[in-house]
Amino acid sequence: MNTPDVKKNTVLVIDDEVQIRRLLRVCLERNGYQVVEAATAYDGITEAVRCDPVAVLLDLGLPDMEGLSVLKRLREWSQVPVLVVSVRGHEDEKISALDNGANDYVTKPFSTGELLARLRAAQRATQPPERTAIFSSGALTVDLAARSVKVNSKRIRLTATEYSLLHLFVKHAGKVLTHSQILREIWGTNEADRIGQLRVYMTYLREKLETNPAEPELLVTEPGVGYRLALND
Amino acid sequence: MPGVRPSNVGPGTAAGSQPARALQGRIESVSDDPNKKRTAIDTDRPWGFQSGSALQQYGIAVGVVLLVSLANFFLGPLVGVHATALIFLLAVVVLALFVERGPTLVAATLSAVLWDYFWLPPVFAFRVTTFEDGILLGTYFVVALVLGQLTARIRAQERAKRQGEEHATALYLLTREIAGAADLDGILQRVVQQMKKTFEADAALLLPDTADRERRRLYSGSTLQMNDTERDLATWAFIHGCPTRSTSGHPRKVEPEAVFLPLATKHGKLGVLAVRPDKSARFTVPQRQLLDAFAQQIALAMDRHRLQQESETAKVLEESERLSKTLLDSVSHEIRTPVAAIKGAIGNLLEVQELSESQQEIVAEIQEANERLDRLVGKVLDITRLESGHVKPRMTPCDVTDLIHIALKETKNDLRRHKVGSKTAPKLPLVEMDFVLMQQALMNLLSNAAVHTPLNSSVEVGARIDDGALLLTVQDSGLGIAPECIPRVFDKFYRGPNAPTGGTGLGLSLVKGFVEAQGGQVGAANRPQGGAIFTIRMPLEQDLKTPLPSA
Repeated sequence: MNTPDVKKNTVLVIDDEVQIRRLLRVCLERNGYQVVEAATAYDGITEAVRCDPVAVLLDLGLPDMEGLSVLKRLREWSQVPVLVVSVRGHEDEKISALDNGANDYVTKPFSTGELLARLRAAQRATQPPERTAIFSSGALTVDLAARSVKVNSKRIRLTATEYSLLHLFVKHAGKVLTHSQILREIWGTNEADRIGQLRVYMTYLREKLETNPAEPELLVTEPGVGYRLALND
Repeated sequence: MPGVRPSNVGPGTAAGSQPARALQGRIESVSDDPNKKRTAIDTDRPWGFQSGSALQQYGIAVGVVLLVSLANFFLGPLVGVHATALIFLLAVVVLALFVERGPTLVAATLSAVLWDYFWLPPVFAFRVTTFEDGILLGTYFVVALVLGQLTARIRAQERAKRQGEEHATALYLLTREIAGAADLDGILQRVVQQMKKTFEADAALLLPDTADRERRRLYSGSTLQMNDTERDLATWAFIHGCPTRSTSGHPRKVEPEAVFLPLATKHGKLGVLAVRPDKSARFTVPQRQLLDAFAQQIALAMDRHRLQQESETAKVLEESERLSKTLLDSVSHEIRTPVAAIKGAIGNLLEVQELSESQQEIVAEIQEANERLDRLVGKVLDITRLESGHVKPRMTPCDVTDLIHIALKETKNDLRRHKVGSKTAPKLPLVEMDFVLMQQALMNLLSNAAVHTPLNSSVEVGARIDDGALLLTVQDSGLGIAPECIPRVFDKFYRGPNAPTGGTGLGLSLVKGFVEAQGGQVGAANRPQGGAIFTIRMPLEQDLKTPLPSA
């Protein structure tokens, strides 16, 4: 058991499977994290209060659907990054977790590399924003102050909607945004029938920003869930 | 004439209350024993009474007048000429209580004429000599007429009221009977019984066949035998939702006329009620009205029963669906957890990087086997979800290029030893489909191609619009499909005779299941230039046919 004062880089793992918890502990500890385990929803919340983790890894695949209620309870008082673990085919579950404040998700079975990358991205998102107004990922550079967008140092012209869409992605770089989150932010609605409109604008953005629009590397589709602006070096 | 009035009114009111009491008794007896109802209704013919009984009534009227004349013949010398007029008047008023308006009028006229001729001086003449006698005769005539009219009106009102009450009682009995029925058969059985009791009629119920809505089945407990013409009439009534009746085929042979009443509520058509009187040739107008009311009540009861049954079925379905989903989720969780644990353990092991070459090979074997297991588990779970109806497509307008890119990215590892290409038509519109399901379908087609074609052969994904539909194709340059296998490639667990190991026979059936769940079609064929081509065809919605405008 970790003592409360050792809380730098503590990750709270809430999963009912002891084997998964043990494996995650091995993996995370080797990568410089400390791990606190919780097997139940109740323990999870108690531990979250006690150990003040830098991130929470939450399994949604519990048969009794306790996962989502843990997330809701957590979000009542804490903005700690939460990574949910789900399985393929449960896209609705992922969406509702994201809409309820989860920062990201991994799909089971996941590789350790994938998990660590998502964990870092989620942590980065909650850190205080950098002073600089320049965002860059791969060939893309966005100067938020000057509202200028460059790809390979070449100035790109965007329409107002395209820019606000890109701006939203830049604000949440590395984080998956659900369709309804984007629709709400940009069009002020979350009617599902506007998804077509969103997809059209994503096509426009990709045509302007991606090196190969048919194989996007920046604006990545998360099937059935939404989109993510990838953080490429 | 102060003496005349009380003697006139007295017997009138007394006689008026008499039938009312008799009527009351009759209604009570009706509610006690519904068998008696029919007589009550049948003898009562307010509209156009039959010629026999009318003639009878006129006979009675004339007879009564003649009898009173005879009595007056003897009484006249004793009581005086004016009193005989009052006796006549009394007779006409009492008569008016029992006969219709016409006979009353005849009796009044006849008695006035007789009185004038035989009693009023000068006797044996129609002349009226004094002014007083003229007034008397006129008054007599008017009073007889007015009283006849009044009693007739009262009788009509009474009759209407009685009819209303009888209808209400009959309806009440019917509703009470069918409300007590536990199921539809119970309702139908009681309806037939009630028809027999209330109308002395045979009844049949035609219900839409549960399997085939176009056909109608006859309720087994029906007492009415129907011929083909009558069945056609019943069908007509059902389809058009309005009542009809059969007409006798032979003009001389009077066959009882059957009535066909559609049973329908605002929720839909429920069936037809066919009724034919046992004894009389046809139903009277009030009986028809009552029948209509019956039909409405029956339809309501059937509808209520149907709704109740539907809500029960829905409840059971919901519960069983919830159970099977819980079971599926928990099985999925139970199977996937060890697979995830193995994957995680391998990942940790590989990260350590202190393994010898042979150890690394062993780990790679475990990894490959685990991935195979993972895929198999995924497929089995997908098939189960499809078959148990837990796959519910979320149709949204999807970007086809994006879809193909994701599917290719996800199957990159499977196809690492193949030449993979994609060919999408320019300016494809957004297509209404479930992105995740279609991605799975496409990935299964690609994995299938990877397994069944030689290494280094080419696999190409294509997308184009053809005849109002999106065509997604996966074509390879392998050996193609044996022609006899083509019809069966999408069958579950079907594997071609020369299929290499490693397949499950599930992939293509999943493709079919996923695509059909979205309203699309799948196809397989051999290409003329060699190799197989698999096609997914998704119909386009009309308003989505417009291509993407260029940015």
